[in-house]
Amino acid sequence: MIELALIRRAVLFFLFFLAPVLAAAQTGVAPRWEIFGGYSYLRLESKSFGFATDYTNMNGWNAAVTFNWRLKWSLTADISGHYGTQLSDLNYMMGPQYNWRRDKSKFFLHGLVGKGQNRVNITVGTQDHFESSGLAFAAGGGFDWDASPRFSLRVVQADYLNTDTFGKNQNDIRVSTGVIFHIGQIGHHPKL
Amino acid sequence: MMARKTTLLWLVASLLAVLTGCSSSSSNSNGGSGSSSGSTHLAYVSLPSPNTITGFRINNSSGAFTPIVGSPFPAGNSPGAMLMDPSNQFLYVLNRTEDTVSLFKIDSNVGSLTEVLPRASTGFSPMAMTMTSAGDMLFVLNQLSGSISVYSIDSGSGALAEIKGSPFPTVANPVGFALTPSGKFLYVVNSNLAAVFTYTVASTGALQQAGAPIPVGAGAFAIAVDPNEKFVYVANTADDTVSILSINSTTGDLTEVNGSPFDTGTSPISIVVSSSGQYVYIANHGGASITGYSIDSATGFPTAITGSPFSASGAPELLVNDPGGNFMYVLGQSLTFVSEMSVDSSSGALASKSQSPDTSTVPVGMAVGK
Repeated sequence: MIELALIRRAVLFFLFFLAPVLAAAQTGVAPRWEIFGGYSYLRLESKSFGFATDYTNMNGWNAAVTFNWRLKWSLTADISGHYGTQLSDLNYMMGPQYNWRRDKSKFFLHGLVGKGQNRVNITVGTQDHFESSGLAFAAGGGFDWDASPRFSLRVVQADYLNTDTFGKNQNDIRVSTGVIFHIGQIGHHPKL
Repeated sequence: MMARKTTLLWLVASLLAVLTGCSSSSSNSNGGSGSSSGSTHLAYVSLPSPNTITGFRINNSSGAFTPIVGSPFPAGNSPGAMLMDPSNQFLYVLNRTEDTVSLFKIDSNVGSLTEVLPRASTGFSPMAMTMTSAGDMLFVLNQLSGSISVYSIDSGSGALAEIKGSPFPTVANPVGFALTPSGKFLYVVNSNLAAVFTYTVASTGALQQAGAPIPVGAGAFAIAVDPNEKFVYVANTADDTVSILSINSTTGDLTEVNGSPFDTGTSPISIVVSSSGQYVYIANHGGASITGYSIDSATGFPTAITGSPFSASGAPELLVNDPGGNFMYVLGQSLTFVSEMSVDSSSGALASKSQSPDTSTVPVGMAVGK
């Protein structure tokens, strides 16, 4: 129930608070490529593994390569890894991204699908960990702010992440922040 | 420009406020960083064929089983009876063909088991275990050697140390025993002699037979003591009856209550008492059923629970109470899973609830934590 309430809040946020922003006109230029890297937090639904804790807090990293096909549309390849008490995970996904660009900022939404890998770090006999991989998908978005023509700050990216490992579904929340490096350019500045 | 920056800051602050609501983390008593509703408990079953132990986490309200990662865990030769200590830190397992008892440490967060070697020696063919309420003494019934091994338990490590004088002799070929909650008296049932033998338990754990054996029904096979220490129940497999005996709290002497023994189904083989002491359940191996009685707290006279006998899967061999009182678990002769029954706390009625994931082979022992 906690997860559903959180997801509803996130969706409401995007719909009501971003609506005026999204309605505004987009600027004319964007980098062709965006390389993102930064810190990531994951709240993993560990009860699905038979853990006593319902959720485990994990810290890690998130990286992504985004190809901006158009100003509004991009393709993103995303990878993240997180580490917690007796747990670690690795997710790699890709999918489309929709951008709302302003003069020096961008809101975006994306839908990603790929593979998730969860690992329980316990020793049983000669085996020192147990690993399971399965389908992963994420839905979320974020906000980037352009610090310079070459760099942006990913102020925040929030995703609902679902993985299918150890025979169960995990409903997770991932939040990331970091730096984006720009390569190339598409579009043009509006005529004055 | 200023308005745009203000809007940006406001939007970011709102987003962070939304996300902050999800990251409530509190270190729980298990040492992990996470959040827990404290809504589950652990259970383990022994699988003698592959010499392993399978673990589950059970939801306190729904009864749903979730397998423990890393399960099944390697055990000794032919693991049988199992016991968890009251702190839920340690699991003890009898290795029937190895004549030893294993100690496992339980990871409270993951639920995985780590065996602590070396294993403690028992007598020949250890078949049953019981423990004091405080978790400081362990008793093992050795069937072929007709003896009882007694160990003190280290509260920190769970390690076993056999006490002076152990093993203590009992009659040949004992089949079951039960310890009173106070730890003062131990009752041993002998199938061949159709009798219950009473032992006093000293503070050191030393056993001393008290009084003459008490006759019960033919084929006496299983025994249980009520949590209020007022009555002893004995399942008589050959007679299809249950004997109910009142306990003298001073001497431990047993006296059969008026009307005892009482009818059960075919071949009663296992018996449990509810945590309140109000209800008694007997597994009828030959009848694929469970007989349930409500017990008069003053006289011990049983009244059949409405709906009894309750249908059970296969030929039930072992009943195990859930400490929470909401469920009862049933192991069947040829079933490769654990059957779960819900217990109506007001009527004592049982209803089929769920079952564990398949265990591949037939489990013969079960331990359930709090």
